[in-house]
Amino acid sequence: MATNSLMPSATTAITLRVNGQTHRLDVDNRGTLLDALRESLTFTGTKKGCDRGECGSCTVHIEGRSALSCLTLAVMTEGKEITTIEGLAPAGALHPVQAAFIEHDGFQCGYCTPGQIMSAVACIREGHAGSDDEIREFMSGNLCRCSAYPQIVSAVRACATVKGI
Amino acid sequence: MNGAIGEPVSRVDGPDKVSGRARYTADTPLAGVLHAVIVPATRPKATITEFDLTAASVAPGVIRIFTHRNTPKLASVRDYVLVSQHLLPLQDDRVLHEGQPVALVVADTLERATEAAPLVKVSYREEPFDADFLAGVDGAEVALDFLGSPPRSARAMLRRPGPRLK
Amino acid sequence: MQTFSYARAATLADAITAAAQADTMVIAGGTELLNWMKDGIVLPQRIVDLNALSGLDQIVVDGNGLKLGALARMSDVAEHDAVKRDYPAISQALFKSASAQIRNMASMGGNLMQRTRCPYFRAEVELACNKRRPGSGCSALDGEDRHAAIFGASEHCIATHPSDVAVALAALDALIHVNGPGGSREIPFADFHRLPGDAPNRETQLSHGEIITSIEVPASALSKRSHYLKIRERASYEFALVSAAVGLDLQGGAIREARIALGGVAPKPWRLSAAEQALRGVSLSDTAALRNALDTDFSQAKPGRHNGFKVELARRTVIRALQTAGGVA
Repeated sequence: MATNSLMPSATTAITLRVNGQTHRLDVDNRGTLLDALRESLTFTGTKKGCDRGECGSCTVHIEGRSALSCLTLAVMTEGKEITTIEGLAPAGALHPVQAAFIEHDGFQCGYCTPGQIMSAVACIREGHAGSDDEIREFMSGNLCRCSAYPQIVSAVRACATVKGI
Repeated sequence: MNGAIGEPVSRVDGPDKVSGRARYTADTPLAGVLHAVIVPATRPKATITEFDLTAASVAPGVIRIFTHRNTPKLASVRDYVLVSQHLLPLQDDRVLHEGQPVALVVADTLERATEAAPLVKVSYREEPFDADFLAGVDGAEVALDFLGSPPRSARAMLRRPGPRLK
Repeated sequence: MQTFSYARAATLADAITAAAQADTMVIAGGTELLNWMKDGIVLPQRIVDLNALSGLDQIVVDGNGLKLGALARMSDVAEHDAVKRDYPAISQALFKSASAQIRNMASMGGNLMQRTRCPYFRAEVELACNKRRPGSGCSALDGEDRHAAIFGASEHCIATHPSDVAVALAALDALIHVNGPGGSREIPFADFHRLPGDAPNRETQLSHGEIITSIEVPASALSKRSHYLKIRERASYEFALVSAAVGLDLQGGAIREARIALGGVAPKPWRLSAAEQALRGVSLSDTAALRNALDTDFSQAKPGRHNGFKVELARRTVIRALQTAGGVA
């Protein structure tokens, strides 16, 4: 088995666009976008749950579409517009979906919440929030161990017809 | 405060949690942090006979590798049933379950610790193992007092066939 | 993960040249590759990013058929109005796959290249597995085989292929276009995935350096009246226990022609060719006759210790899929 254990880690200088700002980083090629956001850029709102694409807590928007940052190599996001939970609304303000999660008690421990909200926004924007069943289906990539699912669905439903989500 | 009872009250931690400002343990900003990755046992019951750390120790960024041979002794907690822990990590050469930590690789980045961990080679003397809980119930260790139930009734419950025990 | 160098291919020719090098793998959506690397299943020294290649993400529907670029994302294909209308089984299979996030990231080409979910293959600490290490044995054979194949397996490997859309593409006689060091060629879908035989580590007909460029599906009445039914333990975000993709050409209430492929039961999508013949002229509401038509194909079923339920489940799945496609379910 060929091994690279003696080869120095290969890195690449990249430019990341996060929440409208440009950041220049040297990233290990193996590094995920999730680790770049959390460790290098201190955007810790995006969470690491399973780190293998099964829980959704790492959900961000890349070019406006929901994506799993744990399954995205940072080097591959050069120049792409990335939005994290921190960038959903201007500082001090709450996005309607964030407000709805509070209003409908859509969380307990809150660990899955940023990922849930990013998925919820995408779900509504893509027109998949027409019914509770549809919301459950299109949000099924986000797990909640506190089981706040019914309240999450209510929160999403409440925003489904809000213009310009 | 009295007026809150019976009213729907929003959680005070709500704004922080929905905005990503809430800080969990792994979110804590730390300068000079190192990263450790566990090497798990690959046998259900065994004695560790040897470690080969030659490849792992020269992997890029590796600072230290801990095994039971160089890990400080930890005090065990036995007084309270709910928090007692009989198997502390890296204390001796016993392996009591697959996945039990048998080594810890510390490196300067997460990627490097992750890369180096599988390079640790562990040799085992395998032992026969039990994977059938009910077959070994007579050898079960009796809890002195489990949440107020005396041990005799707890054991009797295990033997009594019921809807939950097939 | 073992360290690797990274490069972005500017042209298909560049991508092929790079992919043909030793210890080099290509990446599109990355939703499989990253987990393979994290679990030590593959150890590339070089990764070539295909996403800058232009013209490989098209979705074209015309009188001849459907053409999907290999870089078209699963969600884009699923949402495409003409795909929903003329190739419903393909759209349905895609919507039933994975999660919304993964569908946004994953490519059609990558979907065909995904590998089995067998827990022994995917174990983070390596276990005996002839796919991972040829000759090491098959842990599932006398281990946990609830997930395993009832058709097409061998004593070297009993794993199943997990793709949903592959089942629909198999049923609808898709054609895969590839390009590589030896030039471009076409592979009929039925030939693309290999049976394990004595070399389960070789899963497709692609030779090293070959890249899928597009997938074509012929237009027909069968594709227009197609349906994908997925049976699984969770309502969503779960692989199939058993699934069926069917296409029907009906005359009145009787089947003129049918196409049936099963998922979750074999190392590749499993066409029921004998059933397709036997179903000609059968009335769609004659459940007993539908069931009888499956006998020849199902006589080949070889269940293991824990997956015997798949045999009857697959039969019923086919019947329900046929009747749903025909509007009598």
